[in-house]
Amino acid sequence: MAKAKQKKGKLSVFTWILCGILIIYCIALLVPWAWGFMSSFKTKWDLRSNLFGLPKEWMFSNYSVVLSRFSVSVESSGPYPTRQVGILEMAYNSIVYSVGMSLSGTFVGAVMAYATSRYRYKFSGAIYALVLATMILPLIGSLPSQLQVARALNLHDSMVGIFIMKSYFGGMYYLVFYGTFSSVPQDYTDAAEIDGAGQLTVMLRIIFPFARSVFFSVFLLNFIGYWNDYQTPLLFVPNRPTLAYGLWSFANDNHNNDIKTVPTQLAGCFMMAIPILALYLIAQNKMMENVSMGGLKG
Amino acid sequence: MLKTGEKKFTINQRKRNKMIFYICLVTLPLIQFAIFYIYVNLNSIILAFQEYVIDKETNRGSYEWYGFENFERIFYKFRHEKVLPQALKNTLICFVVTIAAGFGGALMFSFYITKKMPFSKTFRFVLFLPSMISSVVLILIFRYFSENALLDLVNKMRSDKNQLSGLVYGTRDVAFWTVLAYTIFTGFGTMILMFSGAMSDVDDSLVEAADLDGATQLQEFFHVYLPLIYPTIVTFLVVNISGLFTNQMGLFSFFGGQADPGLYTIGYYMFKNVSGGEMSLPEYCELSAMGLTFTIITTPIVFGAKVLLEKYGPRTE
Repeated sequence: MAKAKQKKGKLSVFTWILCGILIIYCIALLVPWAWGFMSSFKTKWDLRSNLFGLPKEWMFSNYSVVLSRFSVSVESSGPYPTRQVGILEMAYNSIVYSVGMSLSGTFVGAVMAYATSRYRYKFSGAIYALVLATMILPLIGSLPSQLQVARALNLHDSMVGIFIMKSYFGGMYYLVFYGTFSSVPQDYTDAAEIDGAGQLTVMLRIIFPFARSVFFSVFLLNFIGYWNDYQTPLLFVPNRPTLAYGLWSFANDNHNNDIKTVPTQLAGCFMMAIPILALYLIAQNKMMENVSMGGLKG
Repeated sequence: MLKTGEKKFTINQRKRNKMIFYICLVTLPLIQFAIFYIYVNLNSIILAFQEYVIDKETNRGSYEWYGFENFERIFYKFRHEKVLPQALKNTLICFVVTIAAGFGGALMFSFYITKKMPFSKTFRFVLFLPSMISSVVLILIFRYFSENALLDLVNKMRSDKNQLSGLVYGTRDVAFWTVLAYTIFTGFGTMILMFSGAMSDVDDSLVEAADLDGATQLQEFFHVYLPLIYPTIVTFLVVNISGLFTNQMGLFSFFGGQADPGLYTIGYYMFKNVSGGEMSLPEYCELSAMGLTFTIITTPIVFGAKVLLEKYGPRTE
């Protein structure tokens, strides 16, 4: 007993090895960031001749160049075939896209999880099994069909269209909500019904508040995912570019060549990363402690 | 006091109200699912047997029945061309290396974080950072760091005759392993979120019992935590196998549509060919056929792996 208590305070060799590996990993991950941040304040010639040193002249103008001149060319319905979309419009598109997609996806998932966990009909079991099946069924190559259906239903290149198309109730977060709602005792529902509460009141005012922090965490994780997503806007809303799509386009196409230097691209990267970094710093505990998923069995 | 008949009516009314409310809740999501999952996938199967044809008079395109020609074209490309066989090889290498290097690391890092070892909060913050930041941002920073600072350092350590022209934009082999290393390096976040969440649900009394029996931390990891979070591990492995042929390895973020064909994965090849807007319309049919082929190949592998992993995995007893 005394030996076990003594062991508890001491860290094992295994732990020290892990600690060492993690320190090396963190340094390896953060060094490119530090280098990138420092280089975003250099001129392109300074970067070529001075790879590792501090900037000879601190070019804060790289950031203002990105703010004022960075744009993406998209198709236009006006008199000209194309128009330029600047950073403010891209930021607006990013907010609309991220908030809309997160709200619709999170809300639909929560509602379905509530329905299937609190109403124990056989059909609820079938929906649960359906969600599990769609999570592991490897359906590959449906993107062409999705685009075709989006165009046929006039949902292509529309924010509302993409919200409708992508607000599927299944996935990992459905299971998280399902677990949360299942754990709320039936007594709360029964007591509310005896007091005369209707089904909608029970859902919104009795049961949903139990999942408030989970809802917030899932919404936040979804928001960050959609803020960073550029491939879905590229395919489904190509004429409403988001910041992520704009940055990708800035780095990979042949427009904006006069301002497309390595330091300005790095400046664009940090301008995009900073809001999410700030959000992550503030809400990291909330995000990570409320999301827990067991395994799939059966 | 209610008469018996009245009470029965109230209970039935309550049941009916519940049923109506339940139907209202599930109807719209199920309609959305029916259209955008079931119909889209059925349409994808039909597309696989069609061809995009442009009417010379009206200059409008339409899809017409083409039989199994798309499948023949795909098998021809696999047999006689280099791009798709190399893409398949790259996909499999990426999967194996990611599981071997990334999975084990993620499990051990999750254990470290769950046990609240020194600096675990800092490590958790840094490990999860790549999952928070856009892949475009991460890749751009990594790309320019590799092609400038890191390349300079690597070449200083090599002889004059053995200089590399680039790490990301160099030879195919160097570029492939650089991109793969980046993928593993930045892929820990989601795994750690899942595994550490599952590990934190392990009953403390079991851990204390192991402690009292004199178990080392390594023994605790292998004999207590791993068996208890095994269902989560199975889920993660199964979902990864399921996503095998959609994995782009970050290539579209690195290179846009301009990656060297020697670097392609199946997922990148398919996404690249679909991303050209209206120019991609003729490609839809062949891509759908390829998707259907890989779905047929992967489905039994996924379910087989799930059954085997559940049957032969560690027991909690």
